[in-house]
This record gives sequence, C-alpha cells and structure tokens, in this order.
Amino acid sequence: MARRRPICCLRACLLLLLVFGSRFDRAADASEPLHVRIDQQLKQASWGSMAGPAADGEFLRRVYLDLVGMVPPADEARAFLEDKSPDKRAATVDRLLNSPEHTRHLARVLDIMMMERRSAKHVKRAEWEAYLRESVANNKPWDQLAREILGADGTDEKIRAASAFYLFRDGEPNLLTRDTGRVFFGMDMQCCQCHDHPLIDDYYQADYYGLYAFLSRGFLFTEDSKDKTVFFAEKAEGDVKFTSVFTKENGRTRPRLPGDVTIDEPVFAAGEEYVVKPASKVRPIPKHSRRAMLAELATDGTNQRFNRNIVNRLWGHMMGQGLVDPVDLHHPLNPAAHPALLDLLAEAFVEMKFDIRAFLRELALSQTYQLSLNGPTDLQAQATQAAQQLAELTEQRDAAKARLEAARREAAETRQRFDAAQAASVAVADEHTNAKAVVSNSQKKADEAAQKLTEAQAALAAKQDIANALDVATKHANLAAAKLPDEKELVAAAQTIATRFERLNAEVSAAQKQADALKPPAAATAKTLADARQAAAAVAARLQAENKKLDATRQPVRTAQKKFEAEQSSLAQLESQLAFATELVELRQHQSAAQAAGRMLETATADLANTREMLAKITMTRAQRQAAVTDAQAQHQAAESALQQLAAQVAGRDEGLKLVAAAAESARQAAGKLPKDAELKAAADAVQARRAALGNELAELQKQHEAKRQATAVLVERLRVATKEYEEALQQVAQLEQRVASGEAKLVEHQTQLESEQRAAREQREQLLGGWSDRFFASPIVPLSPEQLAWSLMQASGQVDRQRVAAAAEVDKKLPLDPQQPDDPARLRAREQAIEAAVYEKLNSNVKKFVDLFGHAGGQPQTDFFATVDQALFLANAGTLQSWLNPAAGNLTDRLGKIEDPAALAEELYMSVLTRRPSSAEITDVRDYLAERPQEKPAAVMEMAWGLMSSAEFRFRY
Amino acid sequence: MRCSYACGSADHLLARRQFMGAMAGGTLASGAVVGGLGALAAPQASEKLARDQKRVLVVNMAGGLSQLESWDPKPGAATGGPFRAIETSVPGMHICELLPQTARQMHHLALVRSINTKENDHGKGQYLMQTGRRRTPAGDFPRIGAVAAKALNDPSRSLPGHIVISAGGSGGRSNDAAYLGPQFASISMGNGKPPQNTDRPSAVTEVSERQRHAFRRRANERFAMRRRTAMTDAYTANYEQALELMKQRDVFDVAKEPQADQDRYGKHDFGRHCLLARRLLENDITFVQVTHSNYDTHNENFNFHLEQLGEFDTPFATLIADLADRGMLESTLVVVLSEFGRTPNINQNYGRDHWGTAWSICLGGTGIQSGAIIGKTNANGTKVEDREVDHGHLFHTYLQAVGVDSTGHFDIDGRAMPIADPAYQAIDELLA
Repeated sequence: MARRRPICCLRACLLLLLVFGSRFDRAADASEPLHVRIDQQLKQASWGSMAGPAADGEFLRRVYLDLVGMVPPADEARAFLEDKSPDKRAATVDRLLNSPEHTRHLARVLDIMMMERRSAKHVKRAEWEAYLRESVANNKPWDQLAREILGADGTDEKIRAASAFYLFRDGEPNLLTRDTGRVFFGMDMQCCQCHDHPLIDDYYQADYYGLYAFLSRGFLFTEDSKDKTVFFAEKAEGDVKFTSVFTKENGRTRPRLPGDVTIDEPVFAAGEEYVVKPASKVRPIPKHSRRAMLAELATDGTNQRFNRNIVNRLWGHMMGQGLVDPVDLHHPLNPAAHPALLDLLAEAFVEMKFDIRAFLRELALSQTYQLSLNGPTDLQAQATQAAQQLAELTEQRDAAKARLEAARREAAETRQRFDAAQAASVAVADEHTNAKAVVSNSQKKADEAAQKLTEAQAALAAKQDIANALDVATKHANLAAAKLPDEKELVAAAQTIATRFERLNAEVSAAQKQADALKPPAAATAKTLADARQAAAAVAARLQAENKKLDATRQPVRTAQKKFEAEQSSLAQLESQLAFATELVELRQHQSAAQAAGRMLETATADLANTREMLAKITMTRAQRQAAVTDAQAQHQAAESALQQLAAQVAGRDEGLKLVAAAAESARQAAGKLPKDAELKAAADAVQARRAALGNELAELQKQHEAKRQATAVLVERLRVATKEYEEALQQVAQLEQRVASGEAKLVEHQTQLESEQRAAREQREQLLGGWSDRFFASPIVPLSPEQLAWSLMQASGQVDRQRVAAAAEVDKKLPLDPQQPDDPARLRAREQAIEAAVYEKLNSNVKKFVDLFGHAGGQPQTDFFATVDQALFLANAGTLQSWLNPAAGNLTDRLGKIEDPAALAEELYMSVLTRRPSSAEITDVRDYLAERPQEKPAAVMEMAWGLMSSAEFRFRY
Repeated sequence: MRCSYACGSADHLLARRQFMGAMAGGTLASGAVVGGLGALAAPQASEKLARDQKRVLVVNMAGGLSQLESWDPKPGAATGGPFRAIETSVPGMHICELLPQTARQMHHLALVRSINTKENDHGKGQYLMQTGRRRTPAGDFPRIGAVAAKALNDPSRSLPGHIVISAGGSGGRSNDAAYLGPQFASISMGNGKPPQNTDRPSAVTEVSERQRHAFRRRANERFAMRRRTAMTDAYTANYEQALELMKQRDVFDVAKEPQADQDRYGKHDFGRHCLLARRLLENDITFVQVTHSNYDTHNENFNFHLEQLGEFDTPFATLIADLADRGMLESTLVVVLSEFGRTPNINQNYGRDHWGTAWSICLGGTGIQSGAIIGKTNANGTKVEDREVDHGHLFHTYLQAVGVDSTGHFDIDGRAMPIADPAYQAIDELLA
C-alpha cells in the first residue's frame, strides 16, 4: 500500500489537472501559442490515445478543402509530397490563408452560416457577398463584423449590406430572434416563442423574449416612394409581454442577452425619447437604440455565449464538427466534447481580438487538426490507465455535481435578489409610463389653453393697436376740427373717428375680458402640466434610484452565473472523461475477450490436430491388424483343411486296417485249421505282415494328425488374438473419430465465439472511432458542402486549371507585369485576385445545380448530411460531370490519355482526384482495367475518373 | 421556472428520453440523417415493411372546390345553386349530382363537412391544408407527403417515397420537406414525365456502365477498410439504389398500363394522372399527389363545376373502385382536399368566392370509417353547426389513419420536432 501512494498522488495531481486543467494550463502556458495549448488539452483528455498524424496528402486535401473550398490540383499535391522542408505544412497554411480563394471561400462559409441559403430581400445578394468578401479580405475582427451586422439599420452607405441579416428576414422580429439566437449565441430557442423549451431545461421563454425585446422595436421603413431603399428603422416604444401556451402564465421582460440579466436602460422625460421624432415619411431615430445595445453588449468580449458560439463554429468549420454539435444547441444536456477546451478557445479568441484569420491559422497548425483518419491500434496502456481512474473520476464527478448544485443555488439566489429589485423597478417604470402619459395629456390640455389665451391676447393686441391708432387719430381730428370748426366735413369726420374709437374701445375691453377669462384656465393647465412634469420627474428620479439599486444586483448575478457555468463546464468535462474512460475499458474488455477466444480457438485447433494425428495412426494400425486377422484366418483355414484331410486318411487307413485285420484273422484261423498248408500259412503270414505294416502306417498317420491338430490349435489361438487386437483397434478408431467430431464441433463453436467477440470488438472500435473523431482524437469524416463538391469536381477534372490558364493569359495581356519589378508583391497579389475572380466568374454558374441537389432548403440548417437517389442519378447520368470528363486540352482525361505507362497513369489519376499516390493494388486495378479494353482507352480513362469522383473517398472530407 | 407541464406528458417524456439517450450514447450527433442501412442489412425487416406498407394518395382540387357543388349540397336553399343532390351508395348520404360515379363509391369514403380554416388566401390555404399548420415567418413546416415519406417509407427502397404529379415542370426535387430534409422532399413528375436523370447517358455503353460501377465499388471497399460510417454507407448505397431505380424506370410509364385501363380512365391529363397514381401506388410508392385544376370559380361557378367535375368524376371513381378491387384501400389513405371551399353567397357573376369558414373534404381508405359523415353546416351552408374542425385536426387524422402517432416527435439531428401541431388532436370518431 505504501508503495502505491506516490502513484496515487501523481494520479490525483493528474486528475486535478484534468478537472481544472483548463484554468491551470492557461495560467501555465499562456505564453505558448494557442495550437500548442489545444494539443496539450486533447493529449491529456485522451490519455495519449490519439490517432497518428495524417499523411501529407491527407493533410493537404483537408487544408485545401477547409481554407479554399476545393481539393488541390495534382501538380501542387505532387510538389507538396516531394517537398522535404519541415515547415511545409505551416507554409502551406499561410499561403492558403492569404490567397484570394480563401477570401472567397471563407466569405461563403460566413454567408451560409448567417443566411443559410436564404434568398435575398431588400439588399442585393451581390452587395452582401461583396461586403463579406471585403470584410474577410481586410480580416475584419469578428466582434466588429458582428457589431456592424447586429447594429445595422441600412443607413450607413459604406456598410449598408450589413443590414442584410435583418432585411433578408424581412425584419420579422420572431424570425430575427430565432436566428440571432442561433447564429450569434448558438441557441436555437424557437420552441421558446410559445413556451419554455420542453426538452432543454435551460431554454426559457423569457430568454427568447429577452432577445426579442432588443429587436421588436425594429420595422421596415422606406423614406421615398421613388427610391425604394428599405431601412430597418427603430421606435422608442414597445414593451414585451408574452404568455405560455401551455401554462397560460404571463411574462414580461426588458432586453436581455441569453444567459445574462436584463440591461440597464436610460430613463427619458416625456417627449424626450427621440433624436428625430417619428412623423410621416420621416425615419425616427430614438435616443436609446435597443438594437445598438444588442450589437454593443453582445460583442464587448464579456458575453460567454457569444464568444463560445463563434469559436465553436470556427472550430467546426476547420475540424469537421463543432465541439458542441449541433452548433446551435449549446446547453448543459449537450455539452462540448471538451468543455474546458471550448472555454480556452473562447478566452483566447477574445485575447487575440477576435482575429478570425489568426484563429483559423492556430487551428490549422495544431496537431489535432493534422490527425489521421485512423484511430490508434494499441490501447492497452490507455485502457489500463482509464480503468484505474474510473473510481476516482466517478468520485470527482460526484463532487463536481455537489459543487454545481451549490453554484446553482447561489446563482438562483442572486437572481432572485435581482428579480425582486427588477420587480420594484418595473413597478416604478410602470408608474413612470403612466406619469408620462399624464404629462403628455396635461401637455395637450395646457397647450390648448395656452393656445386659446395666446390667440385671445393676439386679438386683443390687434384691436388695441387699432384703438391706439384711432386714439391718436381722434385727438388729431378733434384738434383739427377745433381749429377749423367751419369745415363741416372735417368735423363730421372727426366725429366719425371719435365714434369709431369709442366702439373699438368697447371691443378692446370685451377682448380684454375674454383674454382675462382665458388666463386662469391657461394658468391652471400650465400648473397641472408643471405638476405632472414634477411628478413625472419625481417618478423618473425614483426610477433611476430603483435602476441604480437594480444595477447593483447585476454584478453578483453575473459572477454567480459565471461560476455556475464554470461548474457546469467542469462537470461536463468530468462526465466526458468518464464516458471516454468507460468506452476505453469496454473496448479493452472486448479486445481481451476476443483475445481469450482466439487463444481458446488455438488450443482447440491444436487438440484437434493432435487427435487427428492419433486417429490417422490408429487407423493405420487397424488396417495392419485387419490384415493380420485375414492372414491368421487364411492360415487357420489351410491348417484346418489339411487336418481334415489327414483325419480322412486316418479314417480310411483305419477302415483298411480293420478289413486287413479281419482278413488276417480269417486267414490265421483257416491256416490253423489247415496247419500243413504252407501256402495258406504263407498267405496268412503275408496278410498278417501287411496288417502290421498297415498298423504302423496308421500309427504314423495318427501321429501326424495329432501334430497337425496341435498346430491348428495354435493357429486358432493366433486368430483369436489377431481378431481381438483388430477389435480393439476398431474401438480406438471409433473413439478417436468421436473425438475428432467433437473437436471439430468445439472448433466451430470457438470460431463462432471468436467471430462474435471480434465483431463486438470491431463494433466497439468503430463506435469508439466515432467517439474518437467526435472528441477530435482522430480526424472526423464529414461530407463536402455542395460548393466544395462542385469546385472539387471542377478542380479534379481539370476545369479550374483550364480556366486559370485562360484567365492568366487574359490578365497578363491587360495588366502585364512590370519587367523591372517582376516580384512586386502588390502587383502579384492583384494579378492573383484578377485571375481568381475570372475563374470564379466562368465556373460559378455550375455550382447552383449542386446546391439544389446536395444542399438544404433556404432558411434550414445546412449541416446535416443526406444522401438521395437523385444525387447519384445526377452524378452518374447528367451531362454536367460527363462533359467535364470528356477529354479537352489539358484536362484530367486528356492528360491521362497521353500517359502510356499504366502505373504513371494511375499516379496522375489518384493524385488529381484523391490527392494521394495509388497503392500497388490500385495500380494493378488500373492496369487491369486498361488491359481489359485496350481499344477503348479514352472511355476506360473517363470511367475510372468517374469511378473515383463518385467514390465515398471523394465525397467526404477526412 | 422549470417546465413542469412538459414532463407530465408521455410524448415529452419519450422524446426526452430518446434525446438524452442520444446524447449519452457517446454518439455526439454525427450530423447524419441517413437511411436504409438497417433495412439493407436486414432484408426480412424490409420485407415486413413492404407487407405493412401504408400509402397515401392526395387529390388536390386546386383553386378551391365548391363544397356546395360537391360534398355538401344544399338543394333548395337560397345559396344552393341549380344542382340537385343525389343518393349515394351510403344510405342517407347525399352528394351533388355532378358526381354520379363517385356517388357509387361513397361506401369506401367518408366526408368531413365542418371545416373552418379561417383562411381565404390561396397560398396560405394550400399551405395550412398541406402542412397542418398556419404559415409563420419564423419557420417552415413539412408537407404531408414529406411527413408520410419520413414516417412510412422504407428507406432501402430505390423508388422515391414522395411523388407529386404536376401539370408541367422539369421533374426535379421540390422544396417542401422543411426541417425533415431534402431526402423527403417530393420528386415531381411534370405531366407524368419520369424523374430526371433516370436514363443512362448515350455515350456510356452497357459494358462501360458495368465496369465503371465495379471500379467505383472497389474504390469504396478499399476506403471502407480505413473508415466506414453511416454516412459513407448511405452515400455508396445510393448509387446502388440509383441503378435499381433505373431498372424500374417503367414504374413511371403510364403507357405500360393496359389499353383498356387507359380507356377507362380517359385520355385527358387528369385521367392519365389518376391511372399513373394507381400504377405508382401499386408499386408501393408511399405518397402520391394528383392535382386537378382549376376550381377558382369567381365567375360562372356552376358552368365551371359542371365541366370540371364532369372530368373529375369518372377517373376518380374508377380509381377508387380499382383500389378497392385490388384490396389496396386497406393500406391506402385517399384524401380529396382543396385550399378552401367557396362562398354560399352567389355573386353577380354567378360565381362563388373564397371561403374558409364552412367547407368539406372527402377521404377514405385505410384507418378511416367508411361512409362516415363528420360535422355539419347550417341550412344555408354559411356556418359550421356541429363538430367544427380545421387543418390541424385533419392533419392528425390523416397520420393516425396510416398508423403514425401524430402526437410524437421526429428526432431531427438532436432536435425533437412534433410530427403534427401539438395543440390539436385527430378526429377520433372518423378513425376506423
């Protein structure tokens, strides 16, 4: 135990590093370039079980597709493969990043990201594309680009096209809310338009409407009935209220960025809200633009969701898929593959001032970007390490869960305080709105009263004026009349004037009275207005005070929220580690099981072979023994028949002897009766002698027979033994045969088991490989976009080159290089741009058909892969690809047609289409293909080119 | 603020579990929407699918069919117009005398007479009847054919699952699948022409064709040794499906039908299209739409309907009779819809105008109660009097009729999309 301790400590340290890896790493390695830090993180996370580096061809194809949107031409591929310099990859990345093709491609990527192939409205598509191209060419930082787009109203001539994001969507606030959420914050909150998200705990209806509140005051505006230019104008009024269709609960919200608290907004006195007040044919300009606030707040570098969204999308662009995938579903149930890495990228991107080109460069230089498609093979060490750490990881995970809960509670508490302060503010804001309504009402009445008074006073003044004149006239006339009393006419006139003056005097006093009567109401309404103003100002002051209080509660919410999200990341990181460790261990188990099954199969195979050998041996023995039995049987039979013959002889002799003996006896008796008969006696003696001889012969025969009988008995014994041995052999053969049969059955069983274990291991491995590329431990395999596919086909078939040659000739004729300064970089750059533009102009019309067939509908997410039969039918049967494959000066099939050596032809074909050299099997394939139809080389070449261009290897980026 | 409402419902729970399962399963969303692999690997499963295959036929009466001259006649009413109502093969069910042949087939069909879609605009009316939802600026919805293709079609089949026979056009893929993805969008057969690019180019000989595909397959096999995913499998399988489709090109050729049938259906476009629809359905195409145009009779409503329905009646009735004879109605849903009905009020030009307030559709076949009449309008046909329904209810009903749980979700790349508007339910009493 004591000996294990240091290891445990080490492991614990490593674990800590894993858990808090990101934070410590950043502190420790901040001086390291970002690509090094990325690799460090992933190496840790994978326990070193990453795929090996991609081959040069694989890397080149990948980097061309990602940075310029098409496969490389064959000659460049060949040059790259032959280049021995150690920094050729970095040099290529830099060269491509500075090419006009990159500008075009990245602008298109940004266009598809923001517009999703939506059709143009109110702004010309060409202007929007030019705006993006110019932004990319000048390497406009993302925060600025986003600020221009989110803040755009279309009035700034220089960046009018930036308003396309709003105007292509007709300024429809719900659509804008949804897509702003998706494109700029990585959150698809569409469900939340009508209710809290049913499946995602963190997407609330209030989030949706918080974002909506920034945009809902916008409206399409046309100033002039002749010039129909459309602007995205904004009002100063409009509060956001909403109702859940499920709960029927009502809500209201001020503008609020996702994951943040509502913003602080200035309080304006009644009638003071606008710089330019709304009127007929006048575009209003509010003093406080919510849209401008959105543009400002989202891009100031502090909004984590905004920052994470863009680095995730750029990562996804380069690495094949986002760390969070789908890229518009950032939420805790769908964490990043490496949460700490996502945080690192977001912080680093802000530190590098949202420099897109520099960021893409860092990604491209990372080893992570340059991994092979194939996963690692030997996982013993990693699996062992993973297995050892499972328990500790689990413990850490549970601890992280507890921490997360605490952070959640704290975040909720701070938010409650904020909500309470906000409720107070909202109540006062409502009062303020009412007070402003009272002001505006009183204003109207006061204005009316003042107007009336003014009019009466003006009328009075006018009359007074005339009266004054008449007064003077009367005096003068009277004076004149007094001096010339005889002038009757004069006297009469003076009289008339005097009368007129008197009448007017009466009118003046009437007007005076009227004016006097209007004064009190005017004063009263003025007072009411003043009071209302005062009241409103008081409410405004209170509101400002409330808002100040509210503002003080903002920071704690943000701090707590940040902590909460950091804990979420940390937990997700651990969960991801745990899942990976579990997968590794399972894979290892499957591999071990497969190995064990393999071993068992080996033993069984050996056993069986052994048994088979024994069987063969005993089968031979059995045959020998069978032969022995047959032999013994034959001998026995022969001996038996000889014995029988002997017995027959003995019997015959015995018979004869008996007859002779009887004759001898008769002869002896006859001789005895005739003793003198010598002849008779001689005859009797002869018979007697013959009898004796015969007796001897018989005895001999009997002896022989006895001997033969004994020999036969030996043979019988031999036969019995041989038969027994044979029977034994038979039995053994049967036993061994049974053993072979059962051995074979066992073998089949083991084989099946091995196969199933191997299959399981393979499936596990394939799954793990999927998980590997999902975690960026191996290069993911992703489909080419419709544009990448179209341009790659044009590149591979030689269309791009043909157009480049033509365009270069044209450009050099129009703008020849200065012979004094052939290397003038500005001039060369301009030349490259002109050539790129010309090639694009010539070939771009071919792309539409690919977009129609391989792309998603406008306004839909564009990332999902789908394969339809009409795509295959198009590539197989339509004229487009067929015509590119027809031999034409300098194109692929033309070049191939001129190559005699099949191996060289195969090399050119594979290099052009798949950016790699063919394997020997592939060279053989090409050679055989050509050999089979020697008379039809042009057709064969076209067919093989088509075969590779329609292969999966061409269709995907890996 | 937790969304407690959702967690009570089985569908939400189910979708949520699948969703979380997908997340937890380590397949961090490959982004693939691919089909056919499982089915290709398991031919038995695909045979079973073929046996249980449900199909949908939509007959779109473009322009706005008058309910009063078709499914909901009001003879004698001030608004009723000049035509009589006739008896049908369903006792007590009467339809307009302009549909005598159809009347004999009504025991295979049902009527919904209480539709109020509150929509009098052609485009919006078509949209809501085809998608089951009102058009919103913030999001597009898939049409019924795309939904049927996604929910019902066996993806290993080479023939397209969603075909719209249109009056003209080039015969390409349309943009009507919204978030379900283009693989479920309709392939249009412009005036019955077969889909595009189904002919081998003349420059490619049979030998070339065989060999280039063999070369392609070998290239794919070699690449598969390095890496194989559902996406690469789907892509390579597609070429095989394309070859299969080219072999089956005759399926799209109505001229291959017996002359007697061509005569029965009639020589005009609609007749040919109905016969083509039968041919396609017989070949297990999941969704077929035929259009009959044009019913937008602001002038001379009665003469136009006399003429139009005169053309419609025979081929439609023949098609229903044929489908019934062949046992295909047991697995095929037939819907005759329109974007709206026509006003009960007869205008000064003897026309009827747009009317989404109280109108009818006819439907039948699998899952539908034959001979049913759902809802009714008042005596003058100016108002729905009983069992008011709209596009949302109908959409659920079509799907339930073909065995799709319309209250469920599609999982679209990690997003759970309700199959039909969750605020509605099917018309239960119409379902068999």
